[in-house]
Amino acid sequence: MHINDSQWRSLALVVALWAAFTFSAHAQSAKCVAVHGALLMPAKAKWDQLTANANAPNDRLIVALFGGEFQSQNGAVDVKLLADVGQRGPFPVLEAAVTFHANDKADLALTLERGILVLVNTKKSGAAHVQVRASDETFEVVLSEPKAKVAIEIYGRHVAGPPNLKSAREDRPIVNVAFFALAGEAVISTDKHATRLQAPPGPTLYIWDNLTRTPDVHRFETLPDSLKPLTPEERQLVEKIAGFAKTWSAKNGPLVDTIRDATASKDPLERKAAVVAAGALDDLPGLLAVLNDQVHADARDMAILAIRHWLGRAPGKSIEMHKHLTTTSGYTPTQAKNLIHLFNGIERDKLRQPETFDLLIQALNHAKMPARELARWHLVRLVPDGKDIQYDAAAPEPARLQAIEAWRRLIPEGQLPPLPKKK
Amino acid sequence: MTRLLIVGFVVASLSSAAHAQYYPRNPYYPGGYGYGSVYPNGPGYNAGAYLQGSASVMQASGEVMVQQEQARVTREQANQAKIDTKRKAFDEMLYEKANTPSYVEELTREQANILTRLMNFPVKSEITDGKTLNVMLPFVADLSSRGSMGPPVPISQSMVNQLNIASSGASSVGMLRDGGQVDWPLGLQGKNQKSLDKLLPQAYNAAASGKLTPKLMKEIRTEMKTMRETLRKQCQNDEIETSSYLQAVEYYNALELSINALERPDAKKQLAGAYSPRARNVQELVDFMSDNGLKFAPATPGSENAYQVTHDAFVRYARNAQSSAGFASLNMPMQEPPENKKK
Repeated sequence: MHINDSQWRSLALVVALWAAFTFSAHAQSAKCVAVHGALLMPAKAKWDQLTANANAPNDRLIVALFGGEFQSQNGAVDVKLLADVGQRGPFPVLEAAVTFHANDKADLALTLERGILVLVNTKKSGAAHVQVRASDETFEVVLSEPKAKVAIEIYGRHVAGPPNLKSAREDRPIVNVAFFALAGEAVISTDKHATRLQAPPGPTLYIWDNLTRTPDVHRFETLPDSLKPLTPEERQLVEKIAGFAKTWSAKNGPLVDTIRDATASKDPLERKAAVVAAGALDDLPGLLAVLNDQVHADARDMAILAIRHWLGRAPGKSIEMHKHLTTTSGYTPTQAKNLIHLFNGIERDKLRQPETFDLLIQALNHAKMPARELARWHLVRLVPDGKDIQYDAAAPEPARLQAIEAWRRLIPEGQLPPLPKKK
Repeated sequence: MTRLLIVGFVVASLSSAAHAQYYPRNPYYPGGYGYGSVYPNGPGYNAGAYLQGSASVMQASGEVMVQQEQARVTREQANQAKIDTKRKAFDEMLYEKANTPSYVEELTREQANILTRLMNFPVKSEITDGKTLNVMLPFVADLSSRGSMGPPVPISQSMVNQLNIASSGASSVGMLRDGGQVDWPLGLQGKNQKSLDKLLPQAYNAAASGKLTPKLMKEIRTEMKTMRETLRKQCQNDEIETSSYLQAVEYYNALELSINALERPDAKKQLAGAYSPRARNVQELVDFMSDNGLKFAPATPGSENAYQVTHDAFVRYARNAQSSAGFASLNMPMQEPPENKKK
């Protein structure tokens, strides 16, 4: 067979394109520098671990239980991935997760999937460019000078009310993405806006959301207390929590099973961390099992938070949960929808109806334990004066009825809660 | 590892700043929709034809203005809804940490500056139960009595017709206005609903002719009670969605108020339309309400939008009037009338 020049050129072009594509797809844009606990990547029916000094593969989700440090391959940017299981900050930020991507035009490209990450310009001079995808937006982050540092957090929640189960598109949580300049200057840009941030004092905080898609910029005079270095006690707590994840991931057998066992640990801290981990690894059956745990009320309480967080992570999670509840957990479609409504919370308008409180008090004796636990969870938040009422969703019915009587004394049927006692 | 918690800064900053940030203000729309001068001058004009023509022009331009107003309100509602939704989602984060003021704490806080709050940050139910309109009513009347009138803010008669009006402190027959015919929500449909479909028109006619009997009212109340009990059981047995239950209860409560209003001495007057205002703008509506000592009763399900539109019109009118009187700058909190301050 004779191949002429033109055909050679075409072939060479195809090969070059294939090579470029392959290189791009498999290029490693970041390297893992340190692991605090475990860094996990989903694989077929299991979780692979990413170890320190290994390259972080592109386009693969990396879940941090509960922290990790990375560096861009060109050495221009340091990345820290953080979670807040210690609950130091007022926001219940659970696990953190990121996906790295190849990008010729930036020093680093990544998607912040969950939690918090901190970017630092480690160049000796000049700006570092990072493309950050979060929710359905792409942000260009320019760390204008060496040592410039920006923290980014993503946080999604459904608005209180019944779930929209028609389609994944309509089951859309509201996602907030916040950028905070911790050191030096940075510019955050989208297609429509470019905003310069600087460490306090100055315009420091930039918050974007997927509904209005318009950033709000806030000025700070000093760094807030919660951003100050950890106390020795807090550091010890974080290390302990990371230690649990390290232990779980070192055990033989499926990680998800190990974590499920840990949700019933004797150590309350390990139980909480395990519940968060179950959510992080998408173990919805595991989380629902915790909500049916007869012994550990604290684990049930944490599971509510973990499921709310899980539901708010992406569109379509309510549909997934509804399907699971109706097909494998023995819920009727109405029961399942009502349970997800309770997870999402009660609409503000409905809190002016006495019937809402009647409904919640009645639900303290619901046939399904998750509904009972959720009713308690809401009641103590809506009516703090009821916090002292002894109630355990796992207690036998007579004890639950006693608690209902106590709640009824506080909020008589057909009435709104009384004004709070003066402190 | 230096742990940097963005979580803290967001809440730290937003607990104060964000509430200002996320709570939407009603934007100020300057200027009014004047009717313009259509008075003729010059010779040879046919007064009858001209007036007819100008009346048509006025009517047409009035309709256009009302339509423009409604379009603006719809647009504004959509924007406001987005901001409100965003804020609600944001509040969920604080709620989880039990950091938000509880419902009862909010109630306590409401006692202060109620007018300012209701005008600027009302929740939907405060608009639809007539609370915001009733709080603004004496304030707007007071502005006008002091000669601080802004340009007329039009309200469509079709919207006014949907407002439930009652004598002070009383409930309205609003839900039975349509001859006692009721559009039932799904959660209330069934055997009792069918009985009530027969009884309520009878009660309407009897009340309108002053011949309502205790027996008929007792029959209605028995059916209503059974209906409520059935609904409660459906909810307990998870046979109805929570959202449908709460919606049905809301409807039931409004209907119960309207049924109770049939027994009031002024029921006949209400049914005869004595409390149905004819108003083309806010000032006329306020005058009608004040002159007759009337209050806004809660919206009946389906007429909530009329309350929202009227609320927005009241706010605009009040701002314009204050502004024209020169005692409030744009976006400043509204001044509390003495009556509300006492509360």
